[in-house]
Amino acid sequence: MTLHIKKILVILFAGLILGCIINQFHPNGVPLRLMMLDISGPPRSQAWTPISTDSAFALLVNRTALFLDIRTREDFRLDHIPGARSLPFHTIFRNPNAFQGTDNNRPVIIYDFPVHSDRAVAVVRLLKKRNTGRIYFLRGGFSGWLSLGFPAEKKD
Amino acid sequence: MAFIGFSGGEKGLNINLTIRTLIFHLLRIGFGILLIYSAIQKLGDPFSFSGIVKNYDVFGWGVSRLVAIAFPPLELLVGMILITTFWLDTGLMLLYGMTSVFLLITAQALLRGLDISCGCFNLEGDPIGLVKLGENLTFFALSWWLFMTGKRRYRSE
Repeated sequence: MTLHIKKILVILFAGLILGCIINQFHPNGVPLRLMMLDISGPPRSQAWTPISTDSAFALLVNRTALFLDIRTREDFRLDHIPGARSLPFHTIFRNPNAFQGTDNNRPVIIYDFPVHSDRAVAVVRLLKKRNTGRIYFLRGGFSGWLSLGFPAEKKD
Repeated sequence: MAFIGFSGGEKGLNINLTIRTLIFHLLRIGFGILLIYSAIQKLGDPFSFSGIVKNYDVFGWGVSRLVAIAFPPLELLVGMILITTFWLDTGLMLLYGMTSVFLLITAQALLRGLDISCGCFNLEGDPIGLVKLGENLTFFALSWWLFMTGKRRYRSE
């Protein structure tokens, strides 16, 4: 039994080392900053702020807010909130400078597709560390936006 | 195990063992190929795999990242062990462990009503459901049989 355990540990350790080496050189490796973000546990009021779909729509109509879509570019091309910009989750985590904030401190609304998205919360936390503006995530996500009948546009 | 064209006795026993041995090796190689294929898919995009692991809502981002980094190479190593039969007894034990984990994690996702992709053998986005659970249960049962059969044949010194 001891020999089995030793062999299992050797295989597990070899897998971990191999994985770290591959991840280090892989163009789509998992960035370290993803591990440094703590989005588990109860939310901290300053760390992430949801905005309701109705309020977000009001900001859209007044052209006050900037919407950032963190889904893949393919999903963004299919449909998105009118006027939104595409900022895929992969991109922002591999290159946090990909978004520099807005010039006149317009509120920024991050959205993903599912009703509850840890990814959207993670992006909000990351951007709040680097920007002083108002950054929110869309409560209910894009799926909630569509289910309430709010508009969407396609990118050709 | 069915006898084919023999009335029993020693010849019947030998045929029984031959069929069982054949099934053992076919399953062993089949699982090996499946694990290697699965590992290659996941190694192609570790970041997406970390998202799939996180979606199960069992671990935080830190552990999800670690799993996404370490699990695919582990699958690759176990797949190669199954095919080459080097340390086969340990490989079968790890295979049994991995299929148990797949089954448990799929079952808990289904019970909690999570609408997520399985990520079991690829990154295609196959949804969690009863079919996936049935698949994982089958793999679990087959890996258990392999493990129990292999234990008798390939005991470590």
